[in-house]
Amino acid sequence: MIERHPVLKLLTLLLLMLSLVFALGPLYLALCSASVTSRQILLHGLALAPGGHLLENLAAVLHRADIGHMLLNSLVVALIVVAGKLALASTSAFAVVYFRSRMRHVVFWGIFATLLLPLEVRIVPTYAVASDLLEPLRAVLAACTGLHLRVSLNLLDSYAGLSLPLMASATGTFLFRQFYLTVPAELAEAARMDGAGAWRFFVDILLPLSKANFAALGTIVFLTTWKDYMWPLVATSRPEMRTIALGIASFLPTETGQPPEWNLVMAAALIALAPPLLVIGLTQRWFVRGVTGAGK
Amino acid sequence: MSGAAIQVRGLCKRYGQRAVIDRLDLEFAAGAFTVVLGASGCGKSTLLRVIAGLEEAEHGTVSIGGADVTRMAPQDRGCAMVFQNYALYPHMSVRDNIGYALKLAGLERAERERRIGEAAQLLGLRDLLERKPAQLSGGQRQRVAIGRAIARRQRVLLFDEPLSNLDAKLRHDMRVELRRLHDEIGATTIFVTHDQVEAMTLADRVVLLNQGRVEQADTPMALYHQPRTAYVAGFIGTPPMNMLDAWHEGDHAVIEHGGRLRMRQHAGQAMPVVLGIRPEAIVLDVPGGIAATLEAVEDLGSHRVVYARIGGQRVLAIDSSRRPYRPGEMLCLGFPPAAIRRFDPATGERLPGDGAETAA
Repeated sequence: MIERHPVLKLLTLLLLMLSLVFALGPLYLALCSASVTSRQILLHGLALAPGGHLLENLAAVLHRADIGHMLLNSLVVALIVVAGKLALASTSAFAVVYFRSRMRHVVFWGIFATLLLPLEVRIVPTYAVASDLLEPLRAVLAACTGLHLRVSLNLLDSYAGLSLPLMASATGTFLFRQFYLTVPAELAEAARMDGAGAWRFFVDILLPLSKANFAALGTIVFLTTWKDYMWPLVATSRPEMRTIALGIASFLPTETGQPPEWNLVMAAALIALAPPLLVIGLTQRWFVRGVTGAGK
Repeated sequence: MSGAAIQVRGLCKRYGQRAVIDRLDLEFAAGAFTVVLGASGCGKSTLLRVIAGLEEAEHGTVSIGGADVTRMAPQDRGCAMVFQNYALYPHMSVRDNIGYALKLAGLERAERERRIGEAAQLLGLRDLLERKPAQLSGGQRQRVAIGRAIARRQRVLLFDEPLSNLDAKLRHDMRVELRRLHDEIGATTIFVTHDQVEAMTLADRVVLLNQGRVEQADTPMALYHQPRTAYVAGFIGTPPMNMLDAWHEGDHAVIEHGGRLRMRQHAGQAMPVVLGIRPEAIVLDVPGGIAATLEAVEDLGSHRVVYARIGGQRVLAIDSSRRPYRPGEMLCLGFPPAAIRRFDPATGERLPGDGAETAA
């Protein structure tokens, strides 16, 4: 129902304006503060009006840290996670929705239950596994056969270590499951009659139909991976494996007595902001359709 | 392309505790157009899906062209199917929709194009080949779905209520077209519907299902004129056959508050019967006929449907004259002897030997 009451209209408008201020306000502050000197921020707090030192600060950031390499790291990790998560989520949802098995509800709710265990909760065991991927295998082997393997596989400080723990995701599986459930069962049956096996049906019919979902989930995953701070912090120790989120933080003082350079932090944040903006710009048409479920 | 005969033997299918199909034996002659008719939930769609291989048979066998296909995958059975909601692939053009199965079957491009062209020609889809399903009307989508099925040139064509989503006018056109297509293609066709008009107009043979069992399987005319049970008589015909409770005593049948009909059969002892007569067989205004009270008249232009009451029982008659009616007036209905069918009130089965005369 569309209300046309003038007061209601005004209220809606105000609410939207307020949301806009909340959404863009911090960005504006970051932009202003990135364009003034460190001294001004220390004296007057975050800048409310733009200053004239933006390029200077950006240059200082690029000079001080290997921003390009960090951006590259973030990009590689984010892309690996996006690809892995999309592949895992779409295929696991496919299995849960289209294969008749007694176990499928158990499997689905098992996947769903992992929502209760985000990375932050299981970070210690995840770190342990990442530091030696074969550790669980060895433990099982030792318990079962008494054999002690001497191989180990350390994933820390590698792209695999940075991306693998972020891949498996119940939300992705859930999103695809909900979409597959709206695909008419007749379509799957028509494909079977046409001679398409499960894999052909998935590739030829389901994948093209869920393009919007791929774009939506891909965008969300890209953004969350891009801005993820905790896991890269834990999983990397070598500077050349650092991601851009760590890069921003590196401008904060690490020793007492060192003055914080907020203008540089903000400038680094602005640089880090650019790639996600680009991704959203490219995918937003699909993104909206995928999230609102109109992408059929 | 010629059709293959289909045999269904001792088929059972249950959903939970409920038997949807109960020890069904059926034969579908090669190249015949068979309509499986029944009310919703009678198991007709399930039967079709078991034949197609989309559902597994619990007991019993299905064979197509003499080969047992009971455990075979759908694509190996040589069946093509048209679904109720068309089930077109939304992201593919009409051309790709029709050609998808051909591509999977490994046909060469030239042969694929030839078959797509032929199907499109047959169904008047030539100008629509590059469109997506969303850009088509309901009738056009239906045509594409049929084209997709016939382009595969399978020996068996299965239709699952394909016309139920079309409006009345389009439904009529598609009926005529389907019959023409069948005569051209010659594949064994099984057509599931709840619409008796489709059954009457399309079928070489109608199988009327009731609660998972065959009520009657015969030509449309036999179902109409010689219904084997009261259920069949009540299912076929618009309006359906009138069913009147009566007592058969000696050589007379008595309808309460209506009068006596002289019967050709002699009942040794008095017994209740159900008399069935088609509305169009009833003659209005026969002197000395069965007394009835006029309730209402529906004018359909070509004819009128007369609602009358004999005691507590309603009778419908078709009247093609332009005679005026007054509600509440008394009618004298003539039941021509050859048109009367007798049914057992307990079992619903038709009693042997037809015929009765209006008492003089």
